[in-house]
Amino acid sequence: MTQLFPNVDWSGMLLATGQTLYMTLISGVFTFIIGLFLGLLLYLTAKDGLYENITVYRITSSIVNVFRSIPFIILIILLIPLTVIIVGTMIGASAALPSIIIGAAPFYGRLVEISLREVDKGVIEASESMGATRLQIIFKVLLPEALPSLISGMTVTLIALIGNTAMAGVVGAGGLGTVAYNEGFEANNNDVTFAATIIILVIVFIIQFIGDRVTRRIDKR
Amino acid sequence: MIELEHVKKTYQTDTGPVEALTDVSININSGEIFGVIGYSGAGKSTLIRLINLLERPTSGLVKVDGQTMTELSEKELREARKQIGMIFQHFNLLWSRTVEENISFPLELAGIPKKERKSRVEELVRVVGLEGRESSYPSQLSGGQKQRVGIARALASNPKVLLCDEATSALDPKTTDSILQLLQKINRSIGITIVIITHEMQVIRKICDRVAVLDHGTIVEEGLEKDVFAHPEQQITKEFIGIKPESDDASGSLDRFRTIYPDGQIIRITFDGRTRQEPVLSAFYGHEGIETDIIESKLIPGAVKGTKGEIVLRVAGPEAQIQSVLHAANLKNVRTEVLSS
Repeated sequence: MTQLFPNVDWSGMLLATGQTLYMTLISGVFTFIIGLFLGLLLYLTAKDGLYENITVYRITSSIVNVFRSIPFIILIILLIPLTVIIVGTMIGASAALPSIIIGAAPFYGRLVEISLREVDKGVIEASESMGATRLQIIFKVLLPEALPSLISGMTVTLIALIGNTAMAGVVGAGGLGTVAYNEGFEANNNDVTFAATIIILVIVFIIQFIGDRVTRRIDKR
Repeated sequence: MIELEHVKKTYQTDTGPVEALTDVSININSGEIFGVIGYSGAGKSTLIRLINLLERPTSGLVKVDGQTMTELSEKELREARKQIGMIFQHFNLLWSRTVEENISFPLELAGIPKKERKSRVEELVRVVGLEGRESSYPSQLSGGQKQRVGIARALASNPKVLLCDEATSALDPKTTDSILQLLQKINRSIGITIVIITHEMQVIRKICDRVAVLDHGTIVEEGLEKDVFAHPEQQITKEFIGIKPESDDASGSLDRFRTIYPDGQIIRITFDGRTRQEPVLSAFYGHEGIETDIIESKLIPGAVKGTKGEIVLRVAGPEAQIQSVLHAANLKNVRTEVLSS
């Protein structure tokens, strides 16, 4: 180990891994909640939706598109004032969270919208014929029927999130990105960059594995 | 039970308004099985969706069980819909739920306590014959079984009306029969009014009491199933029954037969489905002094009712004897008519 990675400080690497996991987990939870809300809003207010409202749809859709289009590294810089207001600082793992969440939630929102659109219209019609209220349709039909698709979408999003946490690391968020950039690239220690990359890959594989397993377990189609 | 009064439905499309239903009035009696037949695009789906107001009519009145559906508030409409079960061509089950959870779904929507739901679901599983499949998911069931779940789910809230939207169109003929038998059994046992829309004449013949023929958004023919079948008036009805227009099959072979056998009478016997185990042809064959040949026969075995269809005969012999045979045959619930003599 010391021969292969002579310059790696393993206890520092462990700490960085913890920071990356922390950023991924917290931003994942918020991305899930906000994305779900945005996706539902888009789906429900779209044409022929349960709460059809073209104005709300267009506004939401534009906001989602704008935030999805801004390159993440620029988004971080743009959001510095907001971050300072929310977190109180612009350095550290927590400071990276607002921009990671704002970058990822619209992305997941679109995935949620697509998942909901894939729910069979006939099933919704059947529920209406049984006298279901709109809220019952959302919570008893739409979300349960779309669940496997919502989970696999979340898996994709989580993996994109890890990429963003690494990028946030470059501007001082900490985590594996910071280690790879500061202690690896800047200090010309390729082995450090390499080790950080491997750990990130392992995290990605684990997330993908768990996501696939959960999706398969609940998918009864 | 169900009244549609001068119902019109116009859809606004990008290319202008499209009239799905032009002026439809129907009266469906309580406890009967009413069929609506028509080609795709005739407006059948729109028509059945007007009954539970999944589609709102552009004008006209829809009444179900004395309630004017078109005047109800959203909340009242939801309550009214619980009295109207519906089953679909593609079943429309929730695939994330098991059989029993699917059947329980409308009861859950109605806020019925878990214990009551459980016993009601058990009862319904028995009614539709799905014992042992309670914890299967829809994807593990055959088409016929899925429709049985659909029927059980539709019956869960004890509705007075059951709407069947092409409910057998995705099923093979044998499964279609078993589903139709189930529907008839339910109709007989609980007196539920059933409305069926279909493009299959077989479905109408097998279980419907009355039928309406829908063409281009209007009802062109309506009446008792056996009357409409025996005396179709409209071209489209004849098409559904299988009688070819103009160059009629029967008359074609009739002419041919005339040239082979110039003597005798050509007689058509029509079976309306009420005949059962009664020897009709033996009246002809067993009669001394007359000769009988079958020229043509078109028989449709009924699933529950008796045989339906027609047989064309050539009968030769003394006029008086032929008349007495015809008289005897007419007593057996069949209709005979002399096509040529």
